[in-house]
Amino acid sequence: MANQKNIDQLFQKKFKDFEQEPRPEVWLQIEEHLTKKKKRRVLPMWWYGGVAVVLIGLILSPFLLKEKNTTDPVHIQPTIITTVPSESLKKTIPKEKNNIPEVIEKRPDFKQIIKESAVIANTNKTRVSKDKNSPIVTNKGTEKRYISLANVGTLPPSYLERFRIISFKGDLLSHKSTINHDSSVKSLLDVVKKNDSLSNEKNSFKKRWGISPSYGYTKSNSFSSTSSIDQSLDNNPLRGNSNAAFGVNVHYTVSRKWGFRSGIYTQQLSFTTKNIGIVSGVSSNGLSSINFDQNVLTSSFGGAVYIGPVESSQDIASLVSSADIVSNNAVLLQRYGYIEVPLEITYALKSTDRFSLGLVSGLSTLFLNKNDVQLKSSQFTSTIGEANNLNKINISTNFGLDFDYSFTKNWSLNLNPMVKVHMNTFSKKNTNFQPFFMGIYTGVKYQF
Amino acid sequence: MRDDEVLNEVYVDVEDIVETDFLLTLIQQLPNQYRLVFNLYVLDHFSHKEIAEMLQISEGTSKSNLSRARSILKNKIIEYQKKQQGA
Repeated sequence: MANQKNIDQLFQKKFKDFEQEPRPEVWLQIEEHLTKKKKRRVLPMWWYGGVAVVLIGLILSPFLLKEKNTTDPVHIQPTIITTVPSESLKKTIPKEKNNIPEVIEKRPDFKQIIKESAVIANTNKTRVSKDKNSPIVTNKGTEKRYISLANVGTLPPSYLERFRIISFKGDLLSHKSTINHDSSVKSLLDVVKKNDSLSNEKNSFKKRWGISPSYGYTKSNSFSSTSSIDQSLDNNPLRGNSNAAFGVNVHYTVSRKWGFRSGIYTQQLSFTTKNIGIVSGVSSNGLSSINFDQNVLTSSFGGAVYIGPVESSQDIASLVSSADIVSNNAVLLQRYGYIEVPLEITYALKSTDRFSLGLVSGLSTLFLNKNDVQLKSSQFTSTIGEANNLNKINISTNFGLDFDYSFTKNWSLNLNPMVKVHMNTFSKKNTNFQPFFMGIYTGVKYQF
Repeated sequence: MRDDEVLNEVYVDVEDIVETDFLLTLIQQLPNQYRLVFNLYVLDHFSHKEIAEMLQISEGTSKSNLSRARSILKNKIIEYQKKQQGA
């Protein structure tokens, strides 16, 4: 207990006559920030519009609300100024809703005061706390309480309404004569300077554009274990393969937390269906969703060929005398690829000077640019045709995380794991296949 | 009475060594919530009840935050003193 008191007293005594005056630049910056902030809020999301924004907004709304409640303390921290107002000054201050911006904006001679305050770096002002010698103590019990601006930013607005925030005009001028310099002020100004540069760094969202060429290691997957090619193959084992993706992504930052992302990527999916039997000498009657390349069939199997599950192929071979089993252990490899144009919203969950973590969500439009089906066995590999049930344009919904590690002001390393669920792959209902796509994208991001 | 004397002695010792800007740095190094509670309680003389209301936390949390802040500060000051004496 002795120790506790000791600590309290130590701090109380040390900070008893402690006042600091921020440099005029800081005030100007705050002022600038306040006006800017208003403009920025008006900044439209209009040209993105659409369903994506609404959906994602809903999904992320808990974060959004959280953000509103925590006012950014960075810009308020450097200022620890509150003084007892003179009677006349008090009258000029509206009794309700004195939040900081209002007070500052209602002061036409604000800049003038700042100039003077720079000269009077340290004045013998009444301090913030209810010190025994301070006049405020006589007001104890009434509603007159003073609170340092350093704490204002972190308090809920509802509480702040009960306070009058009073700027430094009244006392500054009257105490002009008591200028003296001591070390605490000097060091405080250093602190303010530090905060100042810190806030500049945190303002790096002013770098609005980011461009990042990336490479992605991707894996094809499916929510269903059914075949990607035909319902008759639903019981065959299916495996999603890994592929590579390339692209460029462009990022546009709207606020410290929110941004948009677009770009252009390649995207390829491939699925291997195993346990395929091939029987030649029988006309094909399965796999209606493949447009076979007859030339390849003729050259490889002499024309008529049955391709299907091993069990069926064996049944057919035993029933039809002309049939000849070519393979009992072939695989069908279906590959299809897209040019992908994503439109995504990013939300920064956490960011430090070097590292940032964000959520990404949005939609991609996918333009089919590759489509083939290969038949592989131990003896041969041939492209036998292409799927006829794929839509030319597909849509995917995307979710993912975004890690950024910046090693210089403009350059950062980017790691971006994504899951993309394909919504509109197939034009016909002859398959229950529900593909999705996972990718880990890495790239180097340049911000400007 | 005896306690007060001891207190005063220690107090003076500490005061001699510790600079205001060092204390300021210490406060600034505290985690946000601790700093807030510490500032409000020790420097701005609010009660735990008022702080709890302001920050929308419970009184218990306020008290615990304060004591943690104190203990962090205490340790850092002691560390600092040791370093000073060592040098």
